[in-house]
Amino acid sequence: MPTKPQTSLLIGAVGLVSVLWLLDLLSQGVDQLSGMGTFSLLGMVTLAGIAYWGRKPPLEAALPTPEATIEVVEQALDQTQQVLTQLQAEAPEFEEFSTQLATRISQLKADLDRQEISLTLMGGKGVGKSTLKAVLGADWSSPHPCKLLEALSLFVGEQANPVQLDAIATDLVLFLVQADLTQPEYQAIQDLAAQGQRLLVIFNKQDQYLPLQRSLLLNQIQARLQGIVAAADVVAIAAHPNPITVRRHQADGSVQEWLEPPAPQVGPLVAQLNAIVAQESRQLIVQTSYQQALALKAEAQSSLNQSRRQRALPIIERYQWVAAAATFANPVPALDLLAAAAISGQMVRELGAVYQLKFSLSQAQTVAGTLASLMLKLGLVEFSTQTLGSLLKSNSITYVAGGLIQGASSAYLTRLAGLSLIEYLQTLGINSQPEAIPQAGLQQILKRVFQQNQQRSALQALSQQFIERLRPQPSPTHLSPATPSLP
Amino acid sequence: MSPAPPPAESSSVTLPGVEPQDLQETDFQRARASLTQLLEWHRSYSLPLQADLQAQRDLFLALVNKLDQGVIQIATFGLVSRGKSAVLNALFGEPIFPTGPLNGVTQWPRSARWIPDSAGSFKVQFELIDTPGLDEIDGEAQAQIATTIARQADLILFVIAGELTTTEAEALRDLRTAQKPLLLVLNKMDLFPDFTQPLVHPLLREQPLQPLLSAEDVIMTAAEPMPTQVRVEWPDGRITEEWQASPPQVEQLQQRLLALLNQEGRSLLALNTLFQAQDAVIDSAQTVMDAQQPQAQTLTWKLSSIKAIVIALTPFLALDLIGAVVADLILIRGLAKLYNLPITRHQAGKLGQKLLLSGGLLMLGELGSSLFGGLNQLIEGVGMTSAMGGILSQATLAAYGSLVVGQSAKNYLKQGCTWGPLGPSTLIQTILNHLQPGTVLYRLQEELVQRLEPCQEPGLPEN
Repeated sequence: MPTKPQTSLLIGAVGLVSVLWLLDLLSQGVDQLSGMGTFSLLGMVTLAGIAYWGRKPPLEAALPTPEATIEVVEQALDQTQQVLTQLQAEAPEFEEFSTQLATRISQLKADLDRQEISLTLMGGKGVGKSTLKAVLGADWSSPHPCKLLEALSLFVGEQANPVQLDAIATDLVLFLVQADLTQPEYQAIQDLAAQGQRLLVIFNKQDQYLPLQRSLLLNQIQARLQGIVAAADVVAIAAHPNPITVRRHQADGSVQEWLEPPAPQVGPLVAQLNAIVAQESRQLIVQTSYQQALALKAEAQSSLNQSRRQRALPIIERYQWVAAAATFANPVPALDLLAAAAISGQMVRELGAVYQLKFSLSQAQTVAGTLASLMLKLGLVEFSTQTLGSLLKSNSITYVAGGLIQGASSAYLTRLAGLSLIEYLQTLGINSQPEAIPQAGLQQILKRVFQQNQQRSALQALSQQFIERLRPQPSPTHLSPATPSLP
Repeated sequence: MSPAPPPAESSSVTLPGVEPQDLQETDFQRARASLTQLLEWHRSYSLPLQADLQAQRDLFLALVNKLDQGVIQIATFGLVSRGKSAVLNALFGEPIFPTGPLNGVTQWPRSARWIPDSAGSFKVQFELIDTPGLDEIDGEAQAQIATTIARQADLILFVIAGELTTTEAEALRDLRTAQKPLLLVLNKMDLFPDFTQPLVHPLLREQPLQPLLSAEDVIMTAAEPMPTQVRVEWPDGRITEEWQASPPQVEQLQQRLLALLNQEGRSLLALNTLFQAQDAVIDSAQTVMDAQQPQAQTLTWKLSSIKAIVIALTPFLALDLIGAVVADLILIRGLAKLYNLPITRHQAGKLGQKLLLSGGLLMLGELGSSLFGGLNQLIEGVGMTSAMGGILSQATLAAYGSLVVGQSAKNYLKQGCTWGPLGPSTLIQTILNHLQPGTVLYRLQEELVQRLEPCQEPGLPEN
């Protein structure tokens, strides 16, 4: 993970301390808060937030794909259908998307019975994709209906992009190389294989090497791809060999010489293609459908998550203010109490409801307790309160400031807990029952959410909260964008 | 650096009737003199400081060596299996570097001296450096080594074969930002007969490279041509196969390299050497400044307090101002002496501004206090306190002015230390002014000037 927790901690601490410093400054002489102060407060915290905005979340690791069977595909499609139904029921704003999705699901179901196999030629620029396509089109009589396609050249242009499988959606990839593998080629083959794509690696233009070198190269490529592509699936060909010289010695001693274009050497490829098509055509189609079903499911799930998150965020924000108001009115001395106050079982229930999980009150309280203890364990509570403590001594408005800090911390912790819970609930399947949440998984999520929110919304939310608080009439249950109001 | 007077300021002007070769020779000799002087400069420091400067001195020695032997370092650069080693072998005419069909035959850089037959009267030879290829599987370390070497070389042979890949385009862009002179070698012309120089040169427009590479810097070679297959049909019906080798084709590259050597070999060498020396001089200055920090601080405090006292005691404005400027000048002089860095004209204007500021502050202080004193006089007659206040504020301002001047003198000395009469930056400037249109370096000129500190020395003529 590229994010360094220390740096985000540091930035968080700096942000909070600057908030406090400003508070301190304000409390010393200024009785009434001016618009200026409010602005700089917001500015400081926002800057700290923006400073660490620019980092991208790490890419999710590709899931290992099981061997696809018709049943597995149908199962995946069923699950997609369930997500779709859920989406239609919950999120009217995604109606158009839902209709599209339904069409695509039925399309995919129909595609399962198709006969034609699609083969796609891939590789760098100038490796002979078009030539091979023409040669195969002319010379190869497939025992099975096949469709030959040619992908755009890889490894050219401004920057290297990973190979997107769902953009290809093909049954068999013919990956062409013209020499020993380079790092980008190796990476692309590895990516394809990791995504469960069936592929043949073709060493084209072998006529550019001497016979001994050819077998050396073929062995080398096979050895490099060991464990990724089977040796039989790496073949050497020459789709369009360079002309050779023919020198004919006549009986009378004269010599004739001319250039002769040799026939394409694609025998090993044709043999392997025939074998694959004969034995695996059904499996290839199923595998492709499975990939597409998975992609579809992921798309549907992400829309559902997006919709639910939109509904869950206001809940968290509401509880954030409730927690802040409660702690402000009655600042608690101990950290564990603060954590407990921040996460209410009621919030867990309400969030669960958005995710179609019916928590009983006791279950919800268990979850809240787990979250609170995890936060304590990770030191998050300490972090958000302790850094501020030293600045509060001998201040005339210690009580108010203390309450503010505690309130802010409590709101912050509520937010963290709520977002973590959302993330966790998203990972659950569609028909899960509320059970005891596994601590380890939740701890990971909590850490990640903490780091993410260190940079973004949390600090802004915190500043907003302060502004709301510092206004003459605090409105704890209403969240409005921070506009400077005149006292 | 001993403050030797500049030999002739006019040498930076291309005189009509003077052969460019002679100019090159002069520049070359001056580069050598510059390095010798830098070594002397290092020797003038105390022994502990010399120990701190070891790395820079080693570099100077290596550079002197390189100039003495007249070795132009040419490094190959490019993807794996593009024929980098083969190109060098073909230049040598014998298989010095191992080659093979598999990637990564060259794992470590190797080099060999090459003295072309027709090198002529120039006492210059080539050191050809072979580097590992980019894009080898798990070959980040090798790519790193190759990049480091390419950055140090005087000239780069960028070897490609067939279509330009993303990695190659990126590497070319990087080298462009590093302002490296390079020749683009289209190798394996026997295998990629369609990939010709007239085709490739326009392609470079997409990479922002074309202005730096003239058409003649894109060269086609076949360093290790693939033997052609021959099927021999005998009268008795037997058919045998043989492989007919063809000779390497690198004459064009060879000629281009020799032409380059004749045209700008010495400039290429001198320039790269001086750029490396320039960086090392600035590093040295920084090292010295860090080491002498306490002494510099003592000196600044001492001089500024003396100045403050003198100013406080002197009753006349004009005398105050003169005294202030003299004191500041003494401070600059003292710092230069302490660090043993030359006082040059480079960015002297900025320092002058600070001097003016220092004087101006003092004047403001005087005016302010006399105004204040006048007011006080109006109200309660001669006020002792106000007179004291005026003197105190003058002294403070005087001391503050000195501190400001001391700080900017440090910057000035550090930036100016390469701009002495025989300093690397000065010589680079001279060489850049001497460049002939049509040379590789001439095309890089604009970019090279940028590398030469943001500001040019005032007074040097533009080419």
